[in-house]
Amino acid sequence: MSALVDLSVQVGPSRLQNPVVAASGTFGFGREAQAFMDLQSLGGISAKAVTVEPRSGNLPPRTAETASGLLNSVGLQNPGLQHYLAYELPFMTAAGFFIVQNIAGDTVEDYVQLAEALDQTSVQVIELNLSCPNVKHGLSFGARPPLIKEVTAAVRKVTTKPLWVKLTPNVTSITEAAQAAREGGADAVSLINTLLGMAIDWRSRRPILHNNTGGLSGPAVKPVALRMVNEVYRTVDIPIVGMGGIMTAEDVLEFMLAGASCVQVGTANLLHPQAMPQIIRDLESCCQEQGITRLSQLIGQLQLW
Amino acid sequence: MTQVNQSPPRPAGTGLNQAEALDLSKARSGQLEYAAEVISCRQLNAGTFWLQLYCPEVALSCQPGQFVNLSCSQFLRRPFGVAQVDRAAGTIAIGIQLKGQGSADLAASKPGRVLSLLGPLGHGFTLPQSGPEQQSFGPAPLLLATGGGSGLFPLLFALQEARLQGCRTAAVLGFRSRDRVVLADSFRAVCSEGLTLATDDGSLGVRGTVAAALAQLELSPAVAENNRRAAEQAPVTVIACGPQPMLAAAAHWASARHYACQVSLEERMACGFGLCRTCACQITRDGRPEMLRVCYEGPVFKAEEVFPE
Repeated sequence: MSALVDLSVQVGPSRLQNPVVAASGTFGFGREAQAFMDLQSLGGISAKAVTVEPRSGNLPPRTAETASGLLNSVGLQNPGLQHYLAYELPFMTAAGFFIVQNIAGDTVEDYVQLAEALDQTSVQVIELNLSCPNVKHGLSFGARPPLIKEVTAAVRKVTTKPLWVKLTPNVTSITEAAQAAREGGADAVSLINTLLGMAIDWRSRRPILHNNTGGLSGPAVKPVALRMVNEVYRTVDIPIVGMGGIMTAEDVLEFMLAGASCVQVGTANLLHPQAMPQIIRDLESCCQEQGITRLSQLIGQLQLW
Repeated sequence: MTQVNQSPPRPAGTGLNQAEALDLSKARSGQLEYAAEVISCRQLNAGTFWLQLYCPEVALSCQPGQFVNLSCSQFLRRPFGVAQVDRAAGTIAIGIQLKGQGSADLAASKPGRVLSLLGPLGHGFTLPQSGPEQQSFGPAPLLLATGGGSGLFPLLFALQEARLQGCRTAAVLGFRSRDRVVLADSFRAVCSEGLTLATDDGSLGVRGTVAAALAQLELSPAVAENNRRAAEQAPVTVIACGPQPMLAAAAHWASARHYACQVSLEERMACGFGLCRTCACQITRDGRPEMLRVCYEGPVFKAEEVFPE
């Protein structure tokens, strides 16, 4: 058994010590988890989406359990850019983990303003959230490739930070969306955000979520995510940050074989506080068992029938 | 699946003081996930069960009003307010009301089943202080607990703890009907100033809701006068847990009498430890409405934060 496994991965211009990144919206800014986890052991944290102005989010109920998954409609609740810069970012910087900062807006100008504000900070990657299903205009960007290209290009002009563009699966063609991000200058695409869904309480004859619809995540979406990651990997020349229902190290290996350079873990964090540290440990032992010395060798090695 | 931190093996026999030998600082180190062993699961009535778990770390550190999030047969965990703690035995107890498949699975637990437990979670009740100086200057402070539905369970722990700390205690509990009443004897045992029961159909105790019972409530003479001065002399703290209209009624009742009141909220949640923000509710804090997490800043809030004037 080899003593050491190299878990590090390259995602565009960024080097991550391992491929396991907390998915935006499932980990806050890392404050809560520092009590029970070494944040520096993670590949990184994609921190909760920040908007220009504070947002209070949607009214509760904001979550509903589904078969092998859950719906959420938080609605981008966040303290806004100024508070973020004064309070959250200094915390994250001091905590010393690899910072991916997710940003969201209603207009191209919003994204540009946010990216400009982050350009001279310790943020290591800017992730454009073009795909939140729970806000009024969230899907309008991500569902239209020309707009994906436009907003990505506009942000590209104002920052030299690596850009990950997080895409929605609620589209006819994920490859067109990924291609548009590439043409706009993205360094990677994050696949996939949640699938738009609904849960109903037949007794009250109401949707369970106050927002009526929400984003589906968890193992229920994993097959969709794997298919989309592989489709983009085979047709668009851009690194992929894979996500969707990852609960175990085996899931990570599947995503990497499908073509993901790194992954994000979301829903699993909500069920198991130690999910990510456990996945990282298990990745190492999986690789040892298989005689894999460099995990990144697996990226895209899926052999189609 | 994630490996669960193992609790120390359960000591054989009961009444052992083993739990106290555990390092308290370890129990408060921020560890969140424990393997909790089912000691017993007892049916209280048609839809209610009493589940006892061996989890000494949580028994040691848990405060009244806090909750645990338990794994079950379903995708998400299920949150339960801690209803009783036996620190010496290292056990906690929760009340389960049958609502769906998750609660049914937990209610069917046999002794020896090991559940993954997250806890203790959230911000609990602030119990009245009963220092020696207060006792020498008049009656001890009174804790009045009001609740209904699954909300009554955490009140039992709060009353028990308040009794231990030398407070006087009373409770007003509401049920749909006589056959739904549970744990009346357990509550009676920790209520020095009496237990008032209310049933919607009047089949036991006061006919009507908790609000109706509160309207008729006569606290002991020292605090019967509804004025601020009496409240200051023998402070009354009201805690409430149950359906929203009941919480509002308790808050209104307490506010009219200048009693401090805390309410414990329930909301659909995913993680239970602050990450997902799905359980946020509108809370007015420092004069400003904010969306705060029931699982993290709550579940217990000041009544005036939940029901601002």
